[in-house]
Amino acid sequence: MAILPPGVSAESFASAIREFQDAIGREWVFTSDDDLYSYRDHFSYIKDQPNELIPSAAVGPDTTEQVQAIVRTANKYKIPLYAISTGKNFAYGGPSPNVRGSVTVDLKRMNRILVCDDKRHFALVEPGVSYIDLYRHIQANKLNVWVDTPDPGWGSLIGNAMDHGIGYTMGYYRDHFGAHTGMEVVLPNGEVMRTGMGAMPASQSWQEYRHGYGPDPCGLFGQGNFGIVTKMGFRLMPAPEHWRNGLVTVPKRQDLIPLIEVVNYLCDLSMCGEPWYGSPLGQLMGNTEFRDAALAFNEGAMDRLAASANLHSWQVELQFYGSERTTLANWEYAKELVARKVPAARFTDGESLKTPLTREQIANTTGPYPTNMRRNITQGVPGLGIWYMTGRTERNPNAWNETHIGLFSLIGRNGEAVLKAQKDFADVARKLEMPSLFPNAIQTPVNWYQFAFLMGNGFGLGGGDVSPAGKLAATAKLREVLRENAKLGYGDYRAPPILQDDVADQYSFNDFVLRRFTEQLKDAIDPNGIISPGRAGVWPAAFRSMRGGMRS
Amino acid sequence: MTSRRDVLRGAAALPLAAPFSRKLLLAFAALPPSMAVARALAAAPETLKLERFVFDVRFAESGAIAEHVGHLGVALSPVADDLMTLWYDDLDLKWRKAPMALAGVTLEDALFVLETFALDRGMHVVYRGQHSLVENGRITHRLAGPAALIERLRPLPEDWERALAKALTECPLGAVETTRAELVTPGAALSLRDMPLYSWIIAPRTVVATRVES
Repeated sequence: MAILPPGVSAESFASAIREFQDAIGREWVFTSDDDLYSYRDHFSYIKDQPNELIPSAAVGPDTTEQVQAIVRTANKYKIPLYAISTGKNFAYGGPSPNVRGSVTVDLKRMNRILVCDDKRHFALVEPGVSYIDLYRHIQANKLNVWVDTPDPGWGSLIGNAMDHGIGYTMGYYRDHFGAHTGMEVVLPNGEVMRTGMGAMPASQSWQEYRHGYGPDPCGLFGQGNFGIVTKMGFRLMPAPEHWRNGLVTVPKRQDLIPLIEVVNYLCDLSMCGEPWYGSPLGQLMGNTEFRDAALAFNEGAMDRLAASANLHSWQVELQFYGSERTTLANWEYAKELVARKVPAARFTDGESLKTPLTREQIANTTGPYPTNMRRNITQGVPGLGIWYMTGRTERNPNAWNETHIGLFSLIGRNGEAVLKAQKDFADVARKLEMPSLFPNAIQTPVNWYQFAFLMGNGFGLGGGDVSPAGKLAATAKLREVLRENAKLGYGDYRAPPILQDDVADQYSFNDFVLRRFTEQLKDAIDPNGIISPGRAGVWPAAFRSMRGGMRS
Repeated sequence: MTSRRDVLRGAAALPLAAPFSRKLLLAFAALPPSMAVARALAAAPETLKLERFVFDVRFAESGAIAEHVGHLGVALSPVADDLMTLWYDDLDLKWRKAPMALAGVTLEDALFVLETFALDRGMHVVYRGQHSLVENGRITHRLAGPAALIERLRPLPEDWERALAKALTECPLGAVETTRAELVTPGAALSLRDMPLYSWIIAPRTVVATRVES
């Protein structure tokens, strides 16, 4: 299934391949179907279709200089490139490019941990370094820092940050792009740029003051297409001496409002790590009367039925990092604050563990209460358990594997907004005749970003129809969801390539001035439009006619 | 110059010192080239030498197959929910040095994780089977892989775990002909509940060239 980059002749492509081979070695230029198999998105809704987003070739550079050479060749032949770090961005497109026929720049070989400082608390890494790699390095060298890892630890620190990925420890560290400390970028013309203090050749503080002097362009590279990041620094959390967690529940639906208010306060004072919201009422979903009440958002009936079952409506799991005494003090303070606002709240002490944790402690699932937290991840230990959602497993009895697209909408960070979003999402699902995977009335937000709530759009797509036509219909429905959500003010934070134009369309203030601004920059910085055209809906002039092409 | 295709086509007959394509091992540039081939071919010249058998301890069927495979001399790796321990303590360290051949019977999520890692390191899935309980108590086995391996399973006896265990240890080498089959065996298999088990073989691309997609 040999394909060519758009607008590039077979002869030009062959010449480009030869130049890539000369630059990085024949062994690291991949063109066969067999070699390119691993650069496909195996969750893609358009897999095996004529418009599947697959590369024409892939190249595996080992150094920044080799990346520069690749970019120069791509410019010469006007070949679009798509850079991946480890290519594990599953649910958001995996390694697949925005433009079919792009050349994938696979940065896995650039896997050096250049600095990991446990006194100043930062690391400087190349794109091929995964969370597991960094964790292994920290363990092997007995360094006094933790890794804030996303659900699967196999991804790249740089790749995850570039896609605005998240983790599960303290607020500052959870926003992986926000926790970066400067970067090195190969620009579309092949030049190498360093940001922040990295722009000063003799600086000793590149990873400590990321702003440098003057405008800071770093934001352009997150979910962007203004260059290929070849080094990036990250703040690392000092290893705490103690980890503790606790569970808070509140009885009534409206109690969610004061509960979130208190937790926001604690989080923003950096007194607790990621709060994990939930509802104990899921266990009533087998009760027809309760389910009907939940589907109708009948708060009075839900409260009455919850009380008669001796269940509370909401819960939040809190985690604390520090010393044994400070974590206890913070937990006691959290209880005091919640009790002031919700006297009927209940509190359950969780685990209280001195670090470093043993393997047995990390794996232990017999805490004082059943936890919904990614427990090992909150303890700075990468895992692979999230892939239970791939295929039919005990934790995924409905086998979501055929509907694996991540869509999370930004909502306001307060209880009122959560209750409103629950109803709004339910209304959209009804309007579009999409079955919700869970009754929206007990859905809770995720507080991945310290200062923002995201809430998932959990829809059962296609009614189980996993044929190409069924997937096409499901994708069309998702596009409608995104449009309806935008009308209500809910924008998504991340999407796979087939939906990136649709998400970008949500951000339409003042006749899309933000997009026009970034595309003006794109055209100036990347006149041939070779770096990841179309990424996040930013299309360079040379490829702009492709905008919205995935809708057809 | 020997191309990667040449290497793949001739994998089964490769001399141990034959050139080995580094491009299959992205991120493992320091790998001694012939190690994987040597390891795979050393003990049994005609079938794949398995170095691990990964099995899900929560299912009686996978346990039974593992027991049979273990008797055939393959090291067993029990797993359950999260493959991190297997990956971190074992496979990642081994695969940094050389790709290996392994087989398993797990849920689909474990296969997904291992297949994804394998693709990064010059390996791929060369056989996969899905074993699902059907309503009338029978088990349907949907198999895809080397024709020689699958033909050995026809007809699949009621004691299918033993037959499958043997077949998994007799995967042919090289660019093999593949086929698909759907076989049925009787038996209640209560431990399967509603979760299909997957049997699979992952092998270095240089050793078994023909990948089987899901």
